Amino acid sequence: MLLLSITTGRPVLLATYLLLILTAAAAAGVPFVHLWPTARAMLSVAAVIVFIQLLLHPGPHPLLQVDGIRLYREGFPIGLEVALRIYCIVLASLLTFIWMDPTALTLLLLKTGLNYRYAMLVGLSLRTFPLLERELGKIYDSQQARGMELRGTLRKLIRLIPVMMPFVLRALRRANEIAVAMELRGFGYRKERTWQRTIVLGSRDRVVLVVLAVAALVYAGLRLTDPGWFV
Amino acid sequence: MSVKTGTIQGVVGEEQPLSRHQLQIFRFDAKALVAGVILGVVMTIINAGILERVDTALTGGTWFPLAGGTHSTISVISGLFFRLPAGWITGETNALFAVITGSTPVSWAFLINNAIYPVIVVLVSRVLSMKKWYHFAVLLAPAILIGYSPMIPATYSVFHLTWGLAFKFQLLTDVAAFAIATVLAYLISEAIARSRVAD
Repeated sequence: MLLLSITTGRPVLLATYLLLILTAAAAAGVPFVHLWPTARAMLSVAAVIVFIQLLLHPGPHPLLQVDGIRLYREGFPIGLEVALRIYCIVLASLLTFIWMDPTALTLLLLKTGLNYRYAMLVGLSLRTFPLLERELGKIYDSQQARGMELRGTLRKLIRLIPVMMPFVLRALRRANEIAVAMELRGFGYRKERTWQRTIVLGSRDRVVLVVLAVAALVYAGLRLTDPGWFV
Repeated sequence: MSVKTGTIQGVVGEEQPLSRHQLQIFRFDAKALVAGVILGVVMTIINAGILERVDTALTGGTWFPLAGGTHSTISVISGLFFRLPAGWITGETNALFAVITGSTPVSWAFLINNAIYPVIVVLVSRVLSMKKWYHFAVLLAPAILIGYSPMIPATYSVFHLTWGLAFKFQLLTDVAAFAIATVLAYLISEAIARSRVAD
């Protein structure tokens, strides 16, 4: 879906992809409320993008003029295309990571032949994210307890250094602790290691992979024979 | 005459580098790898959570006056203290999360940026002690100019801008990132070296 949304320029197709993504989410039991915070955050981004396109694409049809700044209707389809593409990319990526279990991802990376020292890091990043987010919250609370005013985005921006400095130092201390714990458990001692769980491609997975490969080939063929239809 | 100082060979009278591992290009120990991931998550929380959103709301994602600064700061810290592949891991972790969270429309281009940026940081920091603030300026100038250059075609294609405008927006990001990161990277690197958490 990512590939499709990046290589297509038609707003109608992009809207269809977006609908497909939402249908897939509903079919997989992901409630829309899980996607809504991201979708809502992207609304302001989409609005700014459409505005920029209205501003940057001059044409014979002016839409609005305020103090010498003129917005043109010609930029609207482009703005809509970019905004829809961003929605497709963001929601498809978000869904992938809602569905994916960090351990399964690590095991999958191992299957591709990646060394376990590196394969484990992807899972580690997904696991440490909420921990470090909590850590940042504690730092904000501590600095506020010392009298620093940190409410509101602007104040957080101005006082970035007193927050960022302890955050980085605490994160590095945590990295130290994790590395020591891993080494004590023999991380990196042997070239190969054993796992409690393994992942095996089932017959259904193979069928899905074949279908996806065929679909990608058909899509590439269609794009090459009739490129105008997609752009 | 030379003396041994940890892992590096220092010459008597010469300024010692800020990090013990500064003369190495690669570090494969568990601590470096884990620190690479953790710094990537730190960068993501600061950038994708606050700064990229503010930047995107202000500029539509066409340039990043704030996020560029913290991105450069964390990338320099990762490359300086943990070398490669930790620098790559930090950058790519951030890029991965930026794509997932959709913090900016051009986040997929971070995958390319963050592959180039740490290489420049690691190579330039080998020839500088990084004890003075202007060492960070010297390090950041090529790192930002070369490392961020893939953003130009990305901005051009995603936003349908002209090449001239894409260059100008990138230049604005570069200037802001350079100014912010020179100060932040110097202060935080000094603090890390003093605290010895990276040793």
